Amino acid sequence: MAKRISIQSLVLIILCMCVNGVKAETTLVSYNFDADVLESGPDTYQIFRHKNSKAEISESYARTGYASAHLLDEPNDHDFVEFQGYFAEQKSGFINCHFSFLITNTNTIFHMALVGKDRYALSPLGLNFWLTYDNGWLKHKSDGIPKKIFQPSTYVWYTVDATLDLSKGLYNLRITDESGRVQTQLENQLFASGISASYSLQEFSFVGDLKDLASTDVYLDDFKISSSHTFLQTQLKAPGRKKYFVEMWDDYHKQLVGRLKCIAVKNIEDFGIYNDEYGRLVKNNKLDVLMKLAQLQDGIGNGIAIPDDPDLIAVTFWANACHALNEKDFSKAMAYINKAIAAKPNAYMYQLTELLIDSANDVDFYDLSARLDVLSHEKDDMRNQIAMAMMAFHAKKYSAADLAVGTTAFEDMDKFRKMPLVDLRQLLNTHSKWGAVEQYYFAALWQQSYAQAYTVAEDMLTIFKKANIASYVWLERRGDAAFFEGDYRNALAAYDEVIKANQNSDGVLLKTADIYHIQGDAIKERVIREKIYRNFSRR
Amino acid sequence: MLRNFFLLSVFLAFSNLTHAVNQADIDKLVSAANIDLAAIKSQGPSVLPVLSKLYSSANDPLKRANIAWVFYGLGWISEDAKKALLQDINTTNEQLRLQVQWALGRVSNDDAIVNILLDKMRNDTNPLFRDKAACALASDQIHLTDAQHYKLVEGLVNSLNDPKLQVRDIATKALQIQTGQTKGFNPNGSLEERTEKIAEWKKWLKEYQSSL
Repeated sequence: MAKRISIQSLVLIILCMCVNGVKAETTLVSYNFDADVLESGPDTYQIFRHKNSKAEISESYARTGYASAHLLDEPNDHDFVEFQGYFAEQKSGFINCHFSFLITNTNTIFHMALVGKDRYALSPLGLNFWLTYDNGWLKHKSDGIPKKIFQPSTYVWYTVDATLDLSKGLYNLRITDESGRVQTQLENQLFASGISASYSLQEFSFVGDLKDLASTDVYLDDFKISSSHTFLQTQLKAPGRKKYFVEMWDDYHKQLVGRLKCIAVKNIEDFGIYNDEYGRLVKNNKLDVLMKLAQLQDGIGNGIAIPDDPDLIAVTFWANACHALNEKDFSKAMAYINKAIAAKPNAYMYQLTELLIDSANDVDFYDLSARLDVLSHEKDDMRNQIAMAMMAFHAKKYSAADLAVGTTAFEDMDKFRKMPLVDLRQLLNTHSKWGAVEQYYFAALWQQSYAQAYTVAEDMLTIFKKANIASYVWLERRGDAAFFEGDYRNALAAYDEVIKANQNSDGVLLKTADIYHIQGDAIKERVIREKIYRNFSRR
Repeated sequence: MLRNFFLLSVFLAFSNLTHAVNQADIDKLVSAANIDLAAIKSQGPSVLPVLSKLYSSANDPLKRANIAWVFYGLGWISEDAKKALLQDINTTNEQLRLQVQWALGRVSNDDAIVNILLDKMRNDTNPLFRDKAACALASDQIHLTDAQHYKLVEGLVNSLNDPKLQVRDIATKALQIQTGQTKGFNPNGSLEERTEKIAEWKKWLKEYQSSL
């Protein structure tokens, strides 16, 4: 078992380093390409290449050690070659980027970039550092302008050292040749977009010609990115990743299932409109317009201009609240729903939507639950349970979610078992019809009631089988439940069945890599992982 | 046997030399309800003259729009494609016009195309066409050299003093995509404010020009 470093020891190490003049820093990325094994993955790097391009470990040239990375691509082969990698997002401090490159001909193009969470958009959260070798010149993009630096010679190693100040959006750039001669020394260069803002860095890329018009032939060595901050990094749980693929997909589902959105409108009474008012709307030909507004609970499309008409104003506010909720602009959503409630205080749909928006704004779940109880007494409607489930999932109160959907889930499954086959087939092809069962499955899974989750998945598979419909979704879900329970043999059997029958199953394929890792089969694990993330080949 | 081997080799070599893209096959692909771009791309750049021919001979604007979309998706430089598309740069057919405006920068690296799109952005009578010309300038001029890119950005900066608010607005957005910045230019600001910001942009342009 690895020995843990105590906080006191860590502080002592940092103090010693400061006293000795050594800057404390955290290495985020480090590749000298001499290692026997390099592990690609979602938390390390990925290789993108077409069949005619190459990303290989080569012993032809090396800045230090005996090997380097070689990126090679030809023009007009419908693709480009890329070595793309990832590190923990950095938003402050200094980032040091160090690498060496060598070109063998001047008719080559390559780019090197450091980007943030907006990735390759030219913005403070996107492309921040961008070097290009093109047409004989090494250039850097600063303040939105591509600026020439110098003309590198072929077959000479050049070493790039860039220090990026994330608080100021400035970098220093120093490039030396293999004899140590300084080719360029630039200070206080604006980041690529030149905008003063908050910055983000979490990804690097070495890539060939994006326009596919020129060749790429470049060697890279001694690549390192470090942060001036000192912090403990999350260790890799398996090759190339900090979490198992099964866990990553599970996190994704948690975000999806916990997403809050407006609930479907049943009729005009949901908006607090009754007899006299209804009659007036019909007489004035406004009912159609109102019902169209009522269909906007999905919140897609653009917001709607607020009409002058007092009969339509409250519903419009509500539709805009749904749109803002969908766009995750929760304060805007609250502002709109408050206006809707002010116009029509007793409308069920506005009160229900207000609860969902409060949940999005992280109001205490138990307060919301109590308020929903009161609303339920005024109006007994199964949409109250849907809202409760949504809020419970969002607040990660999975036992409450279980309670909210459990009865409906069991009733639904019972209904499916007794249904005539023709009706069952039609129903099962509509995801929303078994949505409550799915939520119940997740509630069980996330409460770590894996056996219960497994049973739900197994029951749904039986129901689908009865209707003669293949369900890869539930097969995968059964596999996930088995995985979390530690029944890897059963999990692997389920995943293999999905992969055999379904071509679009990269996610499931990666889950089998987790199992092979756990079982200690490093070779099989790597073969599967590299089908997706690829790797450098070896000459 | 040696003779047969020789004849076979000649036949194979000749087959390779004379391999041509089949126009009927390409016509079928671009006429399909869901165009298989990957299949067209797999034919290689030799498909471009065939597509250009099909475009020019098509009477149906929808078919032309579909072929323009294919040109966009391929993103390969082609003088034939550029000439074909330019036939419809002034069409009032909305679907076709938009596809042509988007595709032109993807099949050429021509200053003239940039100038045409700048003109459309500023002076077309249809605000939709003006808006989409700005989109094309922002995102679809993918083959330009640094010097040509400078001209494009200069054209956008010059558009910031256009009398039309919409033009100033879309030029600002295109500039932001191209350069990452707006320099705080408010299209709806006072003349004095706008003039001040345009002066900042001009200063920036000078620095850009000096780097070329």
